[in-house]
Amino acid sequence: MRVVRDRAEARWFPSRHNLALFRLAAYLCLRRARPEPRDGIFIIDRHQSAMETWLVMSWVTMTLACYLATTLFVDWHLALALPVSLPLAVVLLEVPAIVSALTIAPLFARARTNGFRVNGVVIMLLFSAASAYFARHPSWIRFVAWQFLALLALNAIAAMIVFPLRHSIARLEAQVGGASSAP
Amino acid sequence: MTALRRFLVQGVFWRQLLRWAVLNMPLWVEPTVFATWSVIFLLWGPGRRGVMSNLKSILPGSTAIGNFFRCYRVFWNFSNVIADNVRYKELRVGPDWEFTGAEYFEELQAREGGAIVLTAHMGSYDLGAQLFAEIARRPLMMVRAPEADPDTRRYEEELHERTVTQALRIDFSTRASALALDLLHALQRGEIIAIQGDRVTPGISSLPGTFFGKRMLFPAGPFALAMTARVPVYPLFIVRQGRRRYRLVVGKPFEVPRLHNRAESFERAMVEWTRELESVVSRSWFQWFAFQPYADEASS
Repeated sequence: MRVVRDRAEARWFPSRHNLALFRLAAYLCLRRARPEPRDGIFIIDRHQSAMETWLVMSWVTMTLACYLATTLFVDWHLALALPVSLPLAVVLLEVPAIVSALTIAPLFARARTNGFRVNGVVIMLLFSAASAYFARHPSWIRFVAWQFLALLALNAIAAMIVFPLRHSIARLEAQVGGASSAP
Repeated sequence: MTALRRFLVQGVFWRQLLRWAVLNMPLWVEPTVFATWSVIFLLWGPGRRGVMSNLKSILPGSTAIGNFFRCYRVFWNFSNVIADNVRYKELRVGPDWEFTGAEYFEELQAREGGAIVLTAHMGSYDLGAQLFAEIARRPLMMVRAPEADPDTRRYEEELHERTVTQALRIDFSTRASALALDLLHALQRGEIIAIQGDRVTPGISSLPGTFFGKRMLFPAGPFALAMTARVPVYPLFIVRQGRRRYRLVVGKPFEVPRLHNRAESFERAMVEWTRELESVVSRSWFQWFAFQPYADEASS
């Protein structure tokens, strides 16, 4: 486990973020950040960012709620269908993760890949497929589907920018500090 | 009935399910899982009523409906904390840490002799102990109540054996008399011992105190040990601040003086401890994982 001690700007480490879009944003913040000496321990793990987790969860859940509203509650008024779909989306989002964990993730067990990583990719693929389907609908749902696909494309572009920056990112992070704690 | 026991509230099935979920749920799906499971926890009548009863004492004037939603917040935090604990044990990924009372923490580490760290069922006791063992320069011995269910106990012990480090030892508070001697010797050797001071398990001697205006029983062991070994007691709390973010709160240490009247000595120590505990619990009531009404425990 890699940790940074007593340097609050370590919260902007790109390596504390998962998606390329967030890594790129964190890199820009870290470049502009001033030293912030403060008592604390910051863990370097790609899923450490709370903001990223909450934003991605909200984005995916709301997109799913829109898809549910337009399929399950198609005859309802949108003002009613959306609030009903939202809690349903919260519960249903877990279903593909569970199914994938029971069927697909075990195939990668030998590769020592974490199940949550495989299942995350599977859910994103399912969402991409659903978005590709809804993007061709004539109703308002096509805008929701297009924003999902657009953000995915934006993340792919960010990945293309972040990849050549990886050495610069590593240097910048090393300047702030970081040490491995006892295993 | 034996087969069904694993599905009871304290059964091993839920520990195994939690481990499975931590290893398999994408991190950005986790909040939805916690949200769902916190609703399911609300169906656990005794736990819900216990939390709501405690909240009524902690927050005077609070309404039942308000405390129902506060209870949800307690369960939400509990879900997050137990998941963080499993993640640390399985994947060695811990949370970020902030500190309050860092000067007392430094003092504790710099001490020559032993000391008692008195803590409560807040945040993650295990995570805090692991952190302490990693950053402190001295080994820590943790005393905790064993799991009530034998399968769960076995499961936790196996998990602990896989994650044990030289800097952290765990012992269970079942064999009271033998353990007391072990702890006394450890303190005399200059070790630090962490004990939970907000719950009395059956078979453990207790001391009465006043907590948010109501009578509550506290374990007598830590205070008797501090008095016998002449070591200070450091109140220490682990408070969850947000997703994978915790605060280590260390209070001002106090002594358990040796007076002619032992009861008076314990009473003074109890006043110090309850003051610290009340101060932290009143600010972080959503973090106090006491699922039984503390006032009922005292009366029974």
